Amino acid sequence: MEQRIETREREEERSGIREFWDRFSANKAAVISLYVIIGLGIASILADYIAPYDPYAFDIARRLEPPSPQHPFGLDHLGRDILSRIIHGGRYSMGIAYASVLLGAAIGVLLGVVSGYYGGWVDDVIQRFTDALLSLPTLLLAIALVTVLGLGLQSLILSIGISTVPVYIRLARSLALQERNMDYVVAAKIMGKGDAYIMARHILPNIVSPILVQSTYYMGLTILIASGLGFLGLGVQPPTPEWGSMIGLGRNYIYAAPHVVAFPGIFILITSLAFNILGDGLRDALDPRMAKYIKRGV
Amino acid sequence: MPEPLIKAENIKKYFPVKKGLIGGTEYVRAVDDVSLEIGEETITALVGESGSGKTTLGRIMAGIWMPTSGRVLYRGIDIHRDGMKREVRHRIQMIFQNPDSSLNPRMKILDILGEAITEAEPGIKKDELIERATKLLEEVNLHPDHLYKYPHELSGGEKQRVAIARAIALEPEFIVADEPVSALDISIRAQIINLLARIQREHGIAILYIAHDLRTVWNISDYVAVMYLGKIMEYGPTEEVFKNTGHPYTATLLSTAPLLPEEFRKHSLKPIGEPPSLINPPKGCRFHTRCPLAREECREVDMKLIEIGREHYTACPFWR
Repeated sequence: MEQRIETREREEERSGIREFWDRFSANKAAVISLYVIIGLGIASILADYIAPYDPYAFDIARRLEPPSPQHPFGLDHLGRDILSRIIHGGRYSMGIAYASVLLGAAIGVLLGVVSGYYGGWVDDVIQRFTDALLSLPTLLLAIALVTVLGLGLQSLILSIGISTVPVYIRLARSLALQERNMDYVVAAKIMGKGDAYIMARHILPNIVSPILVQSTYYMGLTILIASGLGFLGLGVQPPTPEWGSMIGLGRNYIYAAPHVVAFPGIFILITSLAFNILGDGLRDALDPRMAKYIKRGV
Repeated sequence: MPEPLIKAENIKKYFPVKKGLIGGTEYVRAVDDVSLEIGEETITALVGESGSGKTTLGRIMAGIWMPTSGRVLYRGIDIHRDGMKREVRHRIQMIFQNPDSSLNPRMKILDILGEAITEAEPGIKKDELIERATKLLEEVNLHPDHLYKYPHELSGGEKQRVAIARAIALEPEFIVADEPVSALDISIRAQIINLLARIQREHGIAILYIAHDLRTVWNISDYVAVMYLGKIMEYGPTEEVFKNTGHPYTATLLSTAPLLPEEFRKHSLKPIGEPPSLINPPKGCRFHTRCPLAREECREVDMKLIEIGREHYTACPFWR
């Protein structure tokens, strides 16, 4: 009996996922984006094995050498292999994006749900805080935060994460506002369930899909922000390879050796675009109606 | 009537409505000075058009909303002040109109019932919990297979059965059933109403049955309270109210109700026009603007409930 029930349970779960996948895979661009993102992720993780050269090994004599069969993306201003640096740089560019999105979503969703669920003065306080954060554009806010928190990987992730918090607060709040009036929330209250339980058990599970989509869009945005900070010299510090800082350091040679800037730029573009297209695909496959709540990442 | 189980005393519920930036605040008087007593193990129907305040009164009596003034006593305990204690909390439950929104779509039926069961018995073992949940489903005539389904895999009637099972899991003494069948297919309404009536008998539960379908009210309720624009117009034993109607508003409801036995549709009164706004309800009798029998006095005199029979009250001194 027990056994039978469990298999059926699994079958049903699988059928839910299958249904989602059927709808998702109808969108070819989204599927390609997903493969691109997975491919870039694997390349970053296995960078030590995949990269043809040491990303730090320089050869000043061959600086700015254009693409060739040995160095398909050419060499940079210190004669380092650009392909290897891009592969290693993906670790930083995407790693920073994943970490900061996770951080921003965690803080933002927590505050947003609390804000929407309780309402009243709690809501007022959190919303004025959000207004203050929203008064600066995301990139500017991230720059301001890096300036305050100082250079370094941790403060970079923290800065970018916090700069995306207000959007999550707004999103989670508006979703929680709808959820808190649902009869199942009222039913749980009548039963005597506590607020923390209701938020964790009833509200969060019902708002994860839009938050997932928002996070996917924001992966695209945070990659741009991380690169932007890197370009400005506020991000990952040299000689560590990172796509944005590679462009920043190469910009002096843009006329003489455009490949130094172009290849990292193409990767930033592709990755950011892939996350945005994937976000569209997820949204349409999960629930197209959520579009009105969600802010695109570009 | 024996000592009531639950007693609403002079309940008022005003919802503030902001009028522009400097327009000040007006109030929607959803419930305006209503008292209602519900005896143990009785079904009291609360009927009225939409906007009459019946849902608001129901939610206040379930302890979900705070009244603006007045109090609700459950066995002498004020449920809005010191009633949030668990023992009292569990004795009052609610069944909602729309089973689609009363069951969390992300939870299996077992977990939905499990919430209530663990609330009654914290730390219950998993196999005992499944056993209890199975029994609950049996009580509402559902197959135990449903435990492992999600709400969207069930029909509307099945979902409402689950909602009823959840409500009785905590062994309540009082259930507010807010139009429990009006979202359902007509063909299954009778089944759910009969189920509710059976559960009520077997468990000795008092029910406040909020409805606008007079047919089901006639079938299951012991008492009827008729509400109009936030006030009770008539109250009494169901048979009294239906047969010796004491208020022209009740008469208009009866005469326009479909599916009711012919004998109750003897009145040929039709209400005039549309219900007025709750923000500025009519002075005097609330119903005078629509009452086909309104007199001059009805515009001025604030009508009080008067006794016209055994436990039978009406707010109209002129009818009959």
